[in-house]
Amino acid sequence: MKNRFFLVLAGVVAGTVLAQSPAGLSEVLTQVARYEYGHSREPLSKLSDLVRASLASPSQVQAVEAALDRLLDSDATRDGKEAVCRELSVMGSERSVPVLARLLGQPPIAEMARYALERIGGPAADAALLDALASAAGNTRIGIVNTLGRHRARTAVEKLKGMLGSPDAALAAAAADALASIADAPAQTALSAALDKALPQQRVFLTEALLRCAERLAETNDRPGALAIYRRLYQPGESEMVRVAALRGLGAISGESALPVLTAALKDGSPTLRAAAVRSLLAIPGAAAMKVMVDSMAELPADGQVQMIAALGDRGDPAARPVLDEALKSQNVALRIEALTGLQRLGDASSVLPVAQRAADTTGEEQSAARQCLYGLRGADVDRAVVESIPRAEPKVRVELIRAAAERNITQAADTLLAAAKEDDAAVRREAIRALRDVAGPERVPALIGLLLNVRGNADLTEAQRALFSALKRSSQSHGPELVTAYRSANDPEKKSALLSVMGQAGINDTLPLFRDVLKQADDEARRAAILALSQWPTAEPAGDLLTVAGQPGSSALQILALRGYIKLVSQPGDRAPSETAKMLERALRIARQPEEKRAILAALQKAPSEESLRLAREELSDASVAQEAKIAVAALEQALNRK
Amino acid sequence: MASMKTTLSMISLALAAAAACAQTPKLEPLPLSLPKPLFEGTPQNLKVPNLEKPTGKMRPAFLAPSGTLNVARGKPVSSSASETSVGEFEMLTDGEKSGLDGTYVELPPGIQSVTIDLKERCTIYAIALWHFHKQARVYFDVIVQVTDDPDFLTNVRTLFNNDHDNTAGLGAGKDLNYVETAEGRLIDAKGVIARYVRLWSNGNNINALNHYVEVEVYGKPAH
Repeated sequence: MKNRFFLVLAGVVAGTVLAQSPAGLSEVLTQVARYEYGHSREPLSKLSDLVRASLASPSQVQAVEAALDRLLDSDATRDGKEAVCRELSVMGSERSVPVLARLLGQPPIAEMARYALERIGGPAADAALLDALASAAGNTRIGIVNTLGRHRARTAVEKLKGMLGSPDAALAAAAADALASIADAPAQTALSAALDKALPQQRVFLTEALLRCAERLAETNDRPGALAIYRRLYQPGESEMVRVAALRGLGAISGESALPVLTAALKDGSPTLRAAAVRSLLAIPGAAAMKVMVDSMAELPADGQVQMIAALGDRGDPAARPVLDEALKSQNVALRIEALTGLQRLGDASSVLPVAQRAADTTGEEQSAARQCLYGLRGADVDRAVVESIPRAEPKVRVELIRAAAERNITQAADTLLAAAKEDDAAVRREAIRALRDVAGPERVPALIGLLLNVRGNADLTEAQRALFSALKRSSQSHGPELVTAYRSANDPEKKSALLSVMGQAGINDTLPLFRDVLKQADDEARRAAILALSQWPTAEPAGDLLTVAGQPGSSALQILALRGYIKLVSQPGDRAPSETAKMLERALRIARQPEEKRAILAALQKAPSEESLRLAREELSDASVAQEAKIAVAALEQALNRK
Repeated sequence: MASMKTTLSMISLALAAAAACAQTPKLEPLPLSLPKPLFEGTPQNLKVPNLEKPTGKMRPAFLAPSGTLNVARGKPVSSSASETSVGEFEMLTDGEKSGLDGTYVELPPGIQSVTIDLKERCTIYAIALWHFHKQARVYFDVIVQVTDDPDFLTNVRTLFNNDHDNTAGLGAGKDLNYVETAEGRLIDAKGVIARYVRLWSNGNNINALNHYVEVEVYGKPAH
């Protein structure tokens, strides 16, 4: 029986497929007609592919659409029909409207039929939807209302109007929403009339719909219509949120005409309305709105002033500058912070000192705002003002200006900073040396060497060392001879050590002869400094020098330091073959006496996978003090070599 | 006679107890303040080996002798890295541990160390460290060592080591990897005496960089 039904169905479907149908459509539709959720979706995919392919040919589209319509009229499964509705939503036309309209009355499939009609659109679809409204119920009815709204179907206004007072709150809200979308004069009138007699629970969706209606009217250039709604909803009887929305709407579409109402809201409104007025004023261009903003400042309460200052800053109109300057002197911290934020945009060179002063005098959020302002001030003269103010300002302000010079990367500040780096005030000195790290270019290397040789105290020495290293890194020259000369002329052992350290960090190869001289000296402290500096070398260039020291008789501490340095340099990534690295590490292993160094060598061997490394690691398995690390290294190396 | 003997014994016991009390320092919770958490919950999908299971509870208070304080605050910091990628070395000991941008130092990729010079020998009871707590991260090869030797050649004691495969070359450690949170990691230093504290790390599960928000060393000068 079932088989016979499907044979008949297949015949119906196949018989209706016109000659110009895409090949295979008949077969696919036969399968779709039997489709149920949970079955293979392959027929649906094939149908989508055929529909897509047909779009290139109008005659094929027509044939496919007719075939799909016929399927909808057949006894195909609901799931199959839903799939067909989805395809019609993509390629259907008015020709499919009648069959889809019939489905609107069949609840299981009505939703997908409506979906297809919504996407097909047009007067025929609207007429079908309107016809179905009377008999539809529940969610199907609400869905039809929603679709009519999305279609902005003016023909539906009368029917929708009748639903506004429905006891079914969801239907009434959907009707209001649809009317808001249609937003023509009758729709507006219907919504307004409904609001006049609305119950409290209806007011929420009706006011919301009216606000949406006003937005839509404004979009379609019906400003009077929109204004009428906003004015009505701004009345004191409405809820505050509705009034806020109405006020924002008035400001947005009325421009300067809204200034009186916005001024009144600033003066007499609640904090929320005041905030809305401030934002609305911000959006109104021109001098008149600017004047209202500036003039209202004095009469606003503290929180309103903060909002207004923030808005003035955002507005970016230079006319706000005096107000911001004045706000900077306020007792209200929040106001000062907003003024500083605004000044970042509107300030100029004349703002530099007062803002730096504020950064120096405050802490926390205000200090952070002042610093950000100082770092972000625009204008050609700002950098110059920062540099010129440094020598003149009091120490704590000078510190802020120096920080700003670094943050703004003012390279012209280098001379001023070099001078400040020699001052008596420790904070100024430290900040200046630190700033040089950011602003001093390679041409300042000689000056920075001089600075390092003359700084006071360890903290300054460390900063000077870092500043010199940064400048050397930026340089394309080696500066080796200058550094060597400075080293030889220096008397202070700590400064000599610092110079060696910089040479090591920078890896200046033409200073290596100096290191070799120092390593031959009897002075253990100098030798220690040289070993530590060589250990920081960015390449393995001085590895041999360190190995020589490590193997020499004498201070065992220096030997160990040198050996550790050697292991570190050899461990650095490079172009060397792993077997070569293993050989270098073997030399270290032969003189290593402590487990600490052996562990470091075993770690380095792991990073140089080769048979030589494996052999060395295996040798250490017999040393109980490092057996665990040797085992780990052997396992890692075996694994790495097996992968190869 | 017997009763006199008993009285004498009781007096001796009382004196011994009083002496013991005088020698045992009063213990108090560490004066450790925690920053505000910057993320919520416990991450579930961290594919990190040897990872400590989160307890889901606050760490219990750590007791240390009365008068214990953060002896690392404001002390100089040096590093294996010549320069920082972000921030300053002094941020490790500046007391700011909110973990927000501008409060942490970033060191280059790979194995890096930082060394705090406490400027004098101190009895250290605990070390608290925060690498980065804006995100649930796991920092690798975390090793904490202390010594009196600026070159870390002699009397070096390892307080924490989760470098299971000796990547850093300081020996294989048995401590577990852990997820960074606002609580930081508190390491029991058991009253070790030292001047220098060195901390190692080798990137994290998100990137190869090394970070420190703060390191606190709780102890007292060892006079």
